[in-house]
Amino acid sequence: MASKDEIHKIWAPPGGMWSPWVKPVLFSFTDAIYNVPPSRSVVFQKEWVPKTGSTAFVVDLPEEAGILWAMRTAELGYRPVPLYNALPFAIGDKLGDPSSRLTSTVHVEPILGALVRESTTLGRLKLSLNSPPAFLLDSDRRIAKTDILPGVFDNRSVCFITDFPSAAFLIEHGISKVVVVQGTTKFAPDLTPVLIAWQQGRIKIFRKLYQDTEPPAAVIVQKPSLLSRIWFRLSVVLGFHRGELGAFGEIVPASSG
Amino acid sequence: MSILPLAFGHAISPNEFQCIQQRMSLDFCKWDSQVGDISTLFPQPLLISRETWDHLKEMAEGLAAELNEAENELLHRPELLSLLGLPRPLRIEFTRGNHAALRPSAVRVLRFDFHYTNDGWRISEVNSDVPGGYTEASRFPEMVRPFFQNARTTGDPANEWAREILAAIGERGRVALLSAPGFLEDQQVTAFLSAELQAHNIDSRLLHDPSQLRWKDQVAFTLWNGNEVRVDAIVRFYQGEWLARLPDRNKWKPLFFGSRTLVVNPGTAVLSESKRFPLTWRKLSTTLTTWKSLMPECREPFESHWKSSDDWIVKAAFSNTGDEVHVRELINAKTWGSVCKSVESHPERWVVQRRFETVPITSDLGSLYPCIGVYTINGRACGIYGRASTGPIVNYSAYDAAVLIAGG
Repeated sequence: MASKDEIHKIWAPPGGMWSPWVKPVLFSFTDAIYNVPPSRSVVFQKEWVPKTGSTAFVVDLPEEAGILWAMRTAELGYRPVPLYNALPFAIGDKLGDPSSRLTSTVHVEPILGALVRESTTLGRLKLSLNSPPAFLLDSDRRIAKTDILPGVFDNRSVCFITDFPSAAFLIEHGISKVVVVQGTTKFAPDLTPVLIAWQQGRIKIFRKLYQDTEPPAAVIVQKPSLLSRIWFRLSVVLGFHRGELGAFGEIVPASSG
Repeated sequence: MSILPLAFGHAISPNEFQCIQQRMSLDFCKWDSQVGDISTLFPQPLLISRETWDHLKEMAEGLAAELNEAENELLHRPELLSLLGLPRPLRIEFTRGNHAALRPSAVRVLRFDFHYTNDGWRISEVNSDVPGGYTEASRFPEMVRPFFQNARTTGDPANEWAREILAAIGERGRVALLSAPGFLEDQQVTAFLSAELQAHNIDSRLLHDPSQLRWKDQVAFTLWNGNEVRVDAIVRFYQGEWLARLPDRNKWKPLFFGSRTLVVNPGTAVLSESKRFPLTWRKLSTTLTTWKSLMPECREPFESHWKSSDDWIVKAAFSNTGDEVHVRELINAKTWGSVCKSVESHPERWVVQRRFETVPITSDLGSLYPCIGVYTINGRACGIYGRASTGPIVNYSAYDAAVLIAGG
């Protein structure tokens, strides 16, 4: 198996336009993957995917689906840019037996496995250093799939505006449209400020429902009202959204219920 | 070197610096080196002389000793606690006299942010509660040093910290490192420190909620490999004011009061973390000579004409990474308006500090404003976290610069 440095260089090639944004955290764990899981299938319709040019993607899909979807667009000339911001497991478990790792709140290990597995294919594609980007997020990142009890590793995460290039940088490098590929009609609350900032910087935002056959739809991203932000915060604190991390400028500490 | 006490060295070549960046991110948990469009690891180190380092050490150690004494006095002066702008749950607990149940900490880390001005060194603040920057202060200078003949690092705060933990709990101890969920920039610190502990044969676990600790007879326990075991130390990398926002059921209070398990940093750290700490000085009997000579004048917002003057900066009592430090002339009118509104609504949560002008230093990117964060561990200075900013305020998007002792 390739070393973590080799795998990282495939996803973040030296001199690559988008390489600085590739989040390194998962790559520092690739040497702890002993068995690479087999690939799964992914829904993908290439008919609507624009020829490479002025479009970038934000792929906000669960677990490894984002990587699998982005690998299909990589065949069409788009550069996958992993922005996964979570630890797959506790750093102390890195060298131990994988079967004895702590239960985690978010399933990040499949993403790590897919990064390792797909690196061979990505390396073979010989994408240009300036290929337009497909930024990859895990749509499950904020939600705990298990109660946060003693012995559970809480690896929930959020994305921030600072995890992405600015609108000015995108425009300067020829990107004027961003298509968000996701499974739901609503944008994630931590992604919304990113899209608003881009929109304010004259980037056009489109939404594409992952399993839908319709082409991407242009959207105007609205800032959540003060009332809905207060309600969201209260509902998390009161446990209506147990184990959910908040967003839009603030992180709501988790409720252990 | 120029007559200034610090200067940038030459830039490391892009290929060689890329190797350093790769090692920092893949081996030493530096996972936030890209902030928006800025690559934060800076290829030019800040060079200081041996004399400058000795001077900084002396000042930092003086500040640490005085801070320790002032915190102890504050604990016994509940009437002064209201000056600190503490979150209500903490103020209530400290005022109740729960301090009697506070235990002395065997390990205390402070980081003093020094800035060089035309009037000499000044400090803007102390990072007293949860100082970070260990990997930038320890591994980054170590990797930059070989490119500068005869240069030396100022120390290895991460290694010093781990050694102090080892001395406190012994080999094969168990340490729980607690940070807030979702914040990778905090988790990278606990992950790095966890690896440092492992290098000293100390087992560790990362926790993200205080409710993952169980308390029996004021001793912390948690699940370790499926078994409930006693924790020998808790590393609290979770800001005091954030913990105080959690519901009681999350059991955060033992981290401040009554724990028989070692907590690093101790809960008392929140007292001097408050940017309003200087407002207590005139009522303290502790002599704060070093502080008074280095810290610019601080006032209650109603005691100065800060709104109409550029001579003052406005700081929230509790803020992190410069996110709530405001200067009128550096922000737009709308943002300044909302800052004014916040200060007027809750002046007790803010402080105004007389502005000082950091001397900019020439780099290949133009003039940068350096900030020299000197660590003390248990009162002894042991390294520097260097940052440099394009503007006078050092915040999350500042560059991380290795600080080296030139020609030492």
